[in-house]
Amino acid sequence: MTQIDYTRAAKYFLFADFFKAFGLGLKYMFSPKVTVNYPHEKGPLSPRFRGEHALRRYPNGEERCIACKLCEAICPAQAITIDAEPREDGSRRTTRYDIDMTKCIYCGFCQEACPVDAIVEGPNFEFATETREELFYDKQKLLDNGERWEAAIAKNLELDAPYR
Amino acid sequence: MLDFLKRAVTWWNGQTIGTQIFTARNGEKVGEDGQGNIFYRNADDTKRWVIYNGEAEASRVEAEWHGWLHRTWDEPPTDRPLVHKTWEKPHLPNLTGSPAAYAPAGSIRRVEPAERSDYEAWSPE
Repeated sequence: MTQIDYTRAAKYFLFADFFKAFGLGLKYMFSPKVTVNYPHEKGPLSPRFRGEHALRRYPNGEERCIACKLCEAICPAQAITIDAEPREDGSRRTTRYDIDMTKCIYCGFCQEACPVDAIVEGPNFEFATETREELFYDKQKLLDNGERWEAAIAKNLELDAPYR
Repeated sequence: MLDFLKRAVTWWNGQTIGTQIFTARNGEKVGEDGQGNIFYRNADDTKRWVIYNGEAEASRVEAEWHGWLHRTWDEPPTDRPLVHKTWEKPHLPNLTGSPAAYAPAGSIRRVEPAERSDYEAWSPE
């Protein structure tokens, strides 16, 4: 003789599970939404956010990178390639500064290693491309990023300075 | 009329009807950038958003407004403009898929593909 579980039977016949799930749905229907209306509204970003790379310049327009290759050495994904030569005026500069953005893991070691704050990871993360080759950044592209994002990069560095 | 239909069925032509109603009810205009994109916030500053002038393309937000919109800092550039250097260039959106997209050296999409020196092209006699 099996014992009948009357509580369970009552829940079964009165659609208890159905009403519980319906109540949960109603609760989330009227609670504040956590989604953002991208691309109009965007998520919060820290000043330390590590996005698209940029090569910065000094305020007088001279490029900062002195080809010390510390970023190339520390890069765990070996995404950076640098060739260097003295320029006509005798100063040491890169002739080639390539970052393979498909290898890059956005760890930020390059900007930590840089003694002159030349390579930085800027706040931009909307650089997705349709082809793979567009992610093979050369020096010109990186300097160009620096020229377009300098204002935001400088402000982010200033905001983060008290914590360094 | 066509504009209204476009906005009713797509989200990338400026703004959707829902966004427009939300902006009209809750939006406080904060400022406008050089491209004509208008930036809004709601009364208690829990939401900040932008209505694009033209295509709703997220990468059109320039460096000046980027930090405010992303809540990296609180003062909008209308109150406290960022420091700009003389050599800075105007903002560009993500150009991928357009003819102006970035092409690295050696890409066949370059206007002038790199001269090859590692082989000699065969020319028929």
